[in-house]
This record gives sequence, structure tokens and C-alpha cells, in this order.
Amino acid sequence: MASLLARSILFSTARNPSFHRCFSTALPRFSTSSTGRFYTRKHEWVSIKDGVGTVGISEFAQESLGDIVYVELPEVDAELSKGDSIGAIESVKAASDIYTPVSGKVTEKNSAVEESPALINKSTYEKGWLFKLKVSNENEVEELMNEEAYEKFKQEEQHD
Amino acid sequence: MKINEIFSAVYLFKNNSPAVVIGRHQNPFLEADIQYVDENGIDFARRHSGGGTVYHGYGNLNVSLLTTQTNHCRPRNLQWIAGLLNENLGINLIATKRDDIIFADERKVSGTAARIARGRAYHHLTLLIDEDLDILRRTLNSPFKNRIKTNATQSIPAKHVGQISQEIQGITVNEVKELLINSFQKQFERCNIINVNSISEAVFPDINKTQKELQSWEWRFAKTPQFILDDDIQVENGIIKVSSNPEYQLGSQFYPISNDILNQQQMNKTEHLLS
Repeated sequence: MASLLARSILFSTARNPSFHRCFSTALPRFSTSSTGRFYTRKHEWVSIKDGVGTVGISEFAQESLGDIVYVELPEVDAELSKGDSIGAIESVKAASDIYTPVSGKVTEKNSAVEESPALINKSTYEKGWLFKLKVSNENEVEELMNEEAYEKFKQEEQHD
Repeated sequence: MKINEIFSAVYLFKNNSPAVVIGRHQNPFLEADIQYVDENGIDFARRHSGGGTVYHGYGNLNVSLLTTQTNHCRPRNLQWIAGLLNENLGINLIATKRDDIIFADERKVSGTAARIARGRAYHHLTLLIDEDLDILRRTLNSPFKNRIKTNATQSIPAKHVGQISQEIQGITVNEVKELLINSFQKQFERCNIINVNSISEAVFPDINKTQKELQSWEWRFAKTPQFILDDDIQVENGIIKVSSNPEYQLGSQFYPISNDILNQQQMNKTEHLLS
């Protein structure tokens, strides 16, 4: 009950332009997200804990892609820059590039999704993560969208 | 001319010399008879897009539809093409849920694959018109079928392969190409038709780099997901990592050895199991 209430307040204030003008600069900057995940416009997410970021694709992305049959991940120790194309996800004949939301050095790739790509469809945020990296600049998340902003972004995209 | 800025879509129609083309995440040794391919002057390539393996030669038309990611819609494209051919040729092609184009009796004439990157996408497909189907079947018949363990994506072979000349005798790739181009042209306000006879860096920036990448051993072979052959030979990044078979040397690039020896060993194994 409480969480429902919180969500509706956040949603209505996000729609209210004056709220944004009071509490943010011209570009909305977020450093907190209700789920801990920050999203890119290309539907990847990153969640940072103790300087290590876990990266995956969003529920929306997984649904749009359909059944995932293969995942190509970056190698451990690879140095990535925010926005780099770092791998691909193949689903029903389409190979889609994935981009890293933040810069850093890869510490781990999820071998479970390499063996069972369907995990991404079934458990997108828990077991279906793609790789982890030691984040070089945590401020980069400020340019990403938090949970609420991402919801709004998805709705706007659908109306294009 | 910056194609992407001025035009909303680019459609490519091409025809090329015989080649086997595998999908991005496939195993060439599982999908094709690579030795036969090499011995008969057939090219082998791995594409950037996903999907399965195809053989295409002069009797095939390749169609590639490049658009924004938002406008990428394979079923729409396939229904368009099938509908067009049906209307003009009086045949009955069907675009399936698997993104194939088949005749009503399930003979497959077209396969599809796609790539999505940086807000753009392409949908490309083969269209068998007047091809040598015997060579097609021969190249796609791998001696390693059922002997390789891997999580590479695997082709789903069509129950039956067919082509347009089976219904319309004497039809050529050029005729089908003209048909498609004329119809596509009518869909747009403005359309430029250009014959590309050579590919230059000036018109297509970075093309040399892409071509080099696609022709490299690293892309064509080393990119193969790791696999185990005959429960013995392990190959990773194109190199043999484990092997008790003297024909497959540790540390060397994996390449199929003579069929005779392999088949003989396989037969010996089977005989041993049966005895």
C-alpha cells in the first residue's frame, strides 16, 4: 500500500514542470533510483555497489527482443568507455548490439547467461545480468535515467 | 553523399558468386562441409547479423533493407515481397511466422536475418530463383553433424528447399530484381536508383576496414563459440586446446582433416560400442 502511494506521488511530480525547475538544473540529474538501477536510452541498466557496476538489459528490451538464443559478452579485464558497443544479443535471427552504460574495467561476465541465454528473458534483473565492471567514474550515472525517468521515457518513445 | 541523412531507407539488391554464409554466432564446421566448400572455389563468410546458414550463388537474389530501428519490421517487408511476387507472377508464396518465405507445400525459397545497432537496423534475406539446389544441399551437409557439442546457434534446416523457377520456368534473377525495384520505388516520394559496380572508400567511408575484418581468419573462424568435437577435441577461439587425436595438433588452428580418416574412426567407435 505504502509503495503504491509513493509511486503515484513520484509520477505526478515528475509530470509537473515546476517541480523540475525547482529541484534540478536544465538537464535532469539523478543520483538515486528506487530500484538502484539506472537506465540508458538504449534500454541497458547499471546498478552500482561498492564501486562495482552490474550491467544488464531492461525488461522492456527483453520483451522486444523475444527469445534470446545467444549472448556475446565483453572479456574480463576489457577497458570500456561509456557508450561503447561491447557485445551483442541474438534473438530470433536479429543480432542487436549492446552498449555499456558506464566506463570501467570488466571484472566478471555472467557465464550462466552464456550457457542459458533464456535466463535474460526469464530473470532479467536477478539471474540475467550480463557483466560486472569496476566503475571508473560513478558520476556517469547522473547522465542516466532513474526508475521513474525510465518509465516516462518508455511511454514517450511509444508515442513517437 | 551522406545516405543516412538524406534518405530514410536504403535497399540493396545483389547477386554474387557462390558462397556459404553463416550467422554471427554459428559454427561453420557444424553448418557446412567446409572442406568441400574450399575445394570447389566456393567462398565462406560469417555475417554480422544473426540467423542460420545459407548457400547462395548466381541463381539467388540477396535483398537488404536498411532503415532506422523504429522502422525495422521484418514481417511487413516479407509480406510486401511475397505479395508482390504473387501478384506479378501468379504464384503463391507465404511469409511465415519464422520469417521464412515458402510455397504452400512448405518448400522454402527465402531465409531472413537481421542486425540492430546504433538506432539503425537492416533486414536481409535470400531469394532462391534459379539456383543449383544440388550444390546447395551438398555444401550444407556437414560431416560433423551430431558430433559437435556447442552452444553456438544452430540452423533449422528447411524440410524442403524450393525456388521460383520451379513454378515459373525460365525466370531470371534480373527479372525478379527489376520487379522488386519498380515496386519499391513507387512506395516513396523520392527514390534514387544507383548501380554499384565497385566499392570505394570515397563513397563508403570505412568500407576497407569492414571488408578486412570480415575477410580475416579471426572473424570467420576464431569467432566460432567454443566447441567439443567427438567428445575429445576442444576448440576455443579457433585454436585446439585439448586433443588426444594426433591429426588435430594442440595449439594449431582447427581445420577439418580428410573425411576418410574421420569417418573411419567414427565407424571404429561405433563398431566397438556395438560389439
